[in-house]
Amino acid sequence: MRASGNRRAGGFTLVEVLAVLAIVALAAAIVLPHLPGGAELRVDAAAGRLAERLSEARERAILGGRPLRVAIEAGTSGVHVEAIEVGGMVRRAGGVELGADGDALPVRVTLAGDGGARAVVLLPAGLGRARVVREDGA
Amino acid sequence: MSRRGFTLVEIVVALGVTALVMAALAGTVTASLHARAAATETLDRTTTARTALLHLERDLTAALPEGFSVSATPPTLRFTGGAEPGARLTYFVQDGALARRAEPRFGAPDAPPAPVVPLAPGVTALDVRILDGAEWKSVWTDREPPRAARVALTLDDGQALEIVVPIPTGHGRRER
Repeated sequence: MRASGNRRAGGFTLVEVLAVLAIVALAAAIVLPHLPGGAELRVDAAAGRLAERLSEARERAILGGRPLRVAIEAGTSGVHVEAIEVGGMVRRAGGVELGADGDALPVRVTLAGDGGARAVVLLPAGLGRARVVREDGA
Repeated sequence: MSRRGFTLVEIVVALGVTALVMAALAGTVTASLHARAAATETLDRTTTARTALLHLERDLTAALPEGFSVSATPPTLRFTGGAEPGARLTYFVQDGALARRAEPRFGAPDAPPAPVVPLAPGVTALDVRILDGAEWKSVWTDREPPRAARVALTLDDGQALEIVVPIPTGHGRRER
């Protein structure tokens, strides 16, 4: 048999290719769960838009000198409003009131998507802009 | 010999080198994302403090001759003003934020205390000077507002913001 003689000339053996594939698969298995999936991206995008709208509404209330009510409801398919908290108290009604002189209490809106993806939009007390905060863990 | 392929060891080494390069690149990307986040945060804080000062300017411009006081320790600015029909306003620093309290001008004596609104976070110091016609003072107690007020904020990153507000109803106007 000349098999062992041809080994060098022929490139990889099946075992070698399988070993490389196994290493690549292992690396992918470690990295992939940490990459954001479709549902997660949709929730993040919705949270970003909500933060932008809330900031704009607050600005308008302050510049206009009169309070403004903002309704918050799901518009993107696969994303729903899980909770609206004003100063730590959970509100069932789908909206918040923004004062003309800034607000005494912070507003926290939790958005949830299919597959358990979550994003939290935080509108701080006072005059500041809303921002998206990461929901870590549960 | 010239047609020899790579050995397993060579492939693994190449993969390892690639992984190292990727890790270094990922580190750069992460660092720049962090820098961006920090810059946004600073910008937000500055903008918010600036908005708070504009708010204070609007309140001061509408100051009424109804008890205007400035004290230096702790730094507090108290006056009646703001949107119609006006409110008893107090500006001060609380829990690292520039805070504002608006009590109704014609409120019931047993009304619950008005909430304190932390307007802008990251404010470490408030410095109020008022112009009595001739010089800038840090203490003032009078029915009448002064001619002008100079309000300076110091932020926790060392930034200083300042506005000077002429007060239309201020002292000296009617002495002409």
